[in-house]
Amino acid sequence: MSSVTLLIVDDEEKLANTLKSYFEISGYQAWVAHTGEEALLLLEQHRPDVLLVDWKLEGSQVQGLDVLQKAKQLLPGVIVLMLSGFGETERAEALQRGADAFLEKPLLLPDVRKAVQDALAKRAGSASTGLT
Amino acid sequence: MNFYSIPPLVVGSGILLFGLTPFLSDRRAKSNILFALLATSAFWWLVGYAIVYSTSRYDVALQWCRWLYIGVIFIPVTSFHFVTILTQRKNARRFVPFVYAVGFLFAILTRSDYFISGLSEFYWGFQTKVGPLHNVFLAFFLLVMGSVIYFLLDSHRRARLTSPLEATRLKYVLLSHCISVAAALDFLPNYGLQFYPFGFFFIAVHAIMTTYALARYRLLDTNIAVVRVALFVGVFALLIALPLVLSYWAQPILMIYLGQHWLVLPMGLMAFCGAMAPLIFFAVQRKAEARLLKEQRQYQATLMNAAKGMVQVRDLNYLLRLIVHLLTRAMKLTHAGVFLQDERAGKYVLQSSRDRDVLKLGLILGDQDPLIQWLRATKTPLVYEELKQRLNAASNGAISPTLPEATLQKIEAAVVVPSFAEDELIGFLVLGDKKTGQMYSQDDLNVLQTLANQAALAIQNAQFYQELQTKTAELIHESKLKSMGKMASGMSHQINNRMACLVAEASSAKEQYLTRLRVASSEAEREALVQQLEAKLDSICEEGIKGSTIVRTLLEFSKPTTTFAMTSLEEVIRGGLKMVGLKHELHQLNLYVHVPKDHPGVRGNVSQLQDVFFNLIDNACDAIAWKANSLTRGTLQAPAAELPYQGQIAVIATLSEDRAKHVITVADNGLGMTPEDADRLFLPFHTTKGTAEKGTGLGLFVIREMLKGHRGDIRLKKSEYGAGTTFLVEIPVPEEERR
Repeated sequence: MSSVTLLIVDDEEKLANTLKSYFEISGYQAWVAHTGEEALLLLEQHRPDVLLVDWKLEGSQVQGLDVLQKAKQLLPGVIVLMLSGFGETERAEALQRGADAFLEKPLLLPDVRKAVQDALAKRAGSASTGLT
Repeated sequence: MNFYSIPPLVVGSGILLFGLTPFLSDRRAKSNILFALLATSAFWWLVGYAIVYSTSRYDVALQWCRWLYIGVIFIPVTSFHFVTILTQRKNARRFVPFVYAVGFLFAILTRSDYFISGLSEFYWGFQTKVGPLHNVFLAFFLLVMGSVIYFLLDSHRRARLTSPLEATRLKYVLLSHCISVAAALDFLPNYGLQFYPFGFFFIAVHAIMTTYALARYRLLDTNIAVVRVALFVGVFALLIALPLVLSYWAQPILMIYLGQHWLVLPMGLMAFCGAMAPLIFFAVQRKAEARLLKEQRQYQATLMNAAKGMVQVRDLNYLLRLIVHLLTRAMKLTHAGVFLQDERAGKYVLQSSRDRDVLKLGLILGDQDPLIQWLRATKTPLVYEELKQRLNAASNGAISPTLPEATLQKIEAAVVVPSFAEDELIGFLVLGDKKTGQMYSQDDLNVLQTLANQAALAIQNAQFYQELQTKTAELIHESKLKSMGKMASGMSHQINNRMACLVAEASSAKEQYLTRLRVASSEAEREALVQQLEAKLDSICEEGIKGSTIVRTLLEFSKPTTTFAMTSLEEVIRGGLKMVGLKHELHQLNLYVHVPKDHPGVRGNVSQLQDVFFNLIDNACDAIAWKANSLTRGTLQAPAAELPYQGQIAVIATLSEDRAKHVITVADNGLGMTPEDADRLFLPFHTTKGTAEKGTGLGLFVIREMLKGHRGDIRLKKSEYGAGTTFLVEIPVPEEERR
């Protein structure tokens, strides 16, 4: 079974790398993008199953929300979790735009992983119900 | 009526008029009554002689001589009474009835031939011839006048210590009495000496002087008065007498040359002299007074010069102390003080005082105080002595009962000079007595009034400046808060990022390392994991420290410091940069900061200076962001050489040629400004940042004020729309660092 692929988009290098190594030891395959533009490129290139996208990407023209929209457009069924340091106002918008979850920093990584797993299970569940 | 009777008649009438003047203006004052009586006696005497000189009948003349001598007798008697009242000598008053008694005795004796033996016949008319008893009278006369003069001398001496005005008044009266004694020469014709008795002239002078001393509250300095009168008489007499004498002596000669019209020359000369007289009089008077009043003119000049310079003083407290110091030193006063209006509280508070414990600072006079009301009504200086005189004179209560006497006593004021600014009594000066015991002359009061009015302007100026400083300080503080606000969101984002890293690392450590450690099979594997864990823990600490550094930076910045300290440009610029770094991504820019190692330091408010550079570099970052935006959107074109666009900020520190100033250039290649914006750059509330952003326009105005507070400045060196902006900041090098 091929492992689940994960694209981590965050301008904070250290955090992105921590997430990457964490998910890798959990059995995922992960890539990292630091800017929105980079994220779009990797999105097309690797077509990941899951995206972890930071809401604010410093120094990018393409922001987290744009990545969310593009991903949903490009990859049907993709799971996108939005990460944010800001708060409630973004939550509503993110969920409206189709995000599967909205997580606030600081993140406890086990919780992040659980959120990913929950989202994957949900997708699988709805898929299976879709089949039957 | 012959020629010789005219002078006594004229002068006598004049004396009566003068004598009645004080009496008519105030009938209750005893001194005025007595003076009127004295004048009447003199009038009686002189009118008598006018009649005697004009008659050719012996018996009529003799009768009138006996009558007029009663007038002569009562002159010393009324003088004595007058002076005892004027000098308020209680023990001398006991003698008054006695003196009157003796006077009446002599009056009766005028009937006797032993007193007045008969008449002499001189060229001007009949003259009294006195008998042996007259010598007794003469002794009496001299005794009484002697004691009068003694009383005046003694009282004058005493008054010099307590009341300069009273002392001056008494001096006039003393002088006039001394002059009047010369009239005693008139007794000599009575003993047979043949000269026209002109003593009435001296009595006239005496009457004028005494009237002046009694009637006026504000007296001219006696020296000045004497000089003026002497000069007037001298100059006019000389210049008008000259032609007269000339015409008298030269008449024969002139008649030869000019015949019928010989008078033309003397007339012409008289007219010419008459025209010249005033000019000469004033010129001589000015010179004489300049010499007499040298000291007075000196301090008056000092005060006037000070008055001009006062407006430039901006520190209110210093200004008030200066005024008080100036007054006490220049005019040699016992003390002085300044009361300032506290408009809100409706009262006047003593703000500054010198040389006396009595004037305690903080002494308050309310708006309703009689002194304040008086000053507001009269708008002129108030002299305590004069007020007292008015009180003494106003026994009929014609003057309003709310006289400010009590207040003047409370504040120990000899003179109070009000300060008006546009009809508003903003304060007043309180002056004590002059140490020399002299009274305040009209000139003094004029100068003081001018000084007070200039002081009013200067005080208002200083008050405005004080208010401005407070407002500016408030603005600066507000700007600081705004700067903090600007950083808050960026900063909290940064802190949150640090926390996020820290938490991410800590929460993943268990699985990443501990779990794996437990199931590690080899020592090598374990060692590797332990090392990785160690590194991870270090990283966690680092993140924590970074976060707390950010907080500490903000705390430091938000601390209100007003003290000046020595610091370096490097510290100040880097401090500002650190703050900017919390808000903008600096590593994307081409940032160049250069402060030469051997540069002298700066003395200033460190956090304010940091704020200055923070704001400038923050503006530069914004300008760069806007330019990037415009380029992307296509609203701005850039030459190909500049693309891809990278923001550049340069902060370069240099020294001015004389090494007295730091000159720091802050240049960016951001969006720049249009000429219109450049013009309005330093105006408060001008902003080029959209209102959506946190641009409130206070920035550059406040930066300039902050720099002015350091005796520095900021200028826009150049700005071109589309190309960039350069500012020049100047900060003085502290004295001790200049080489």
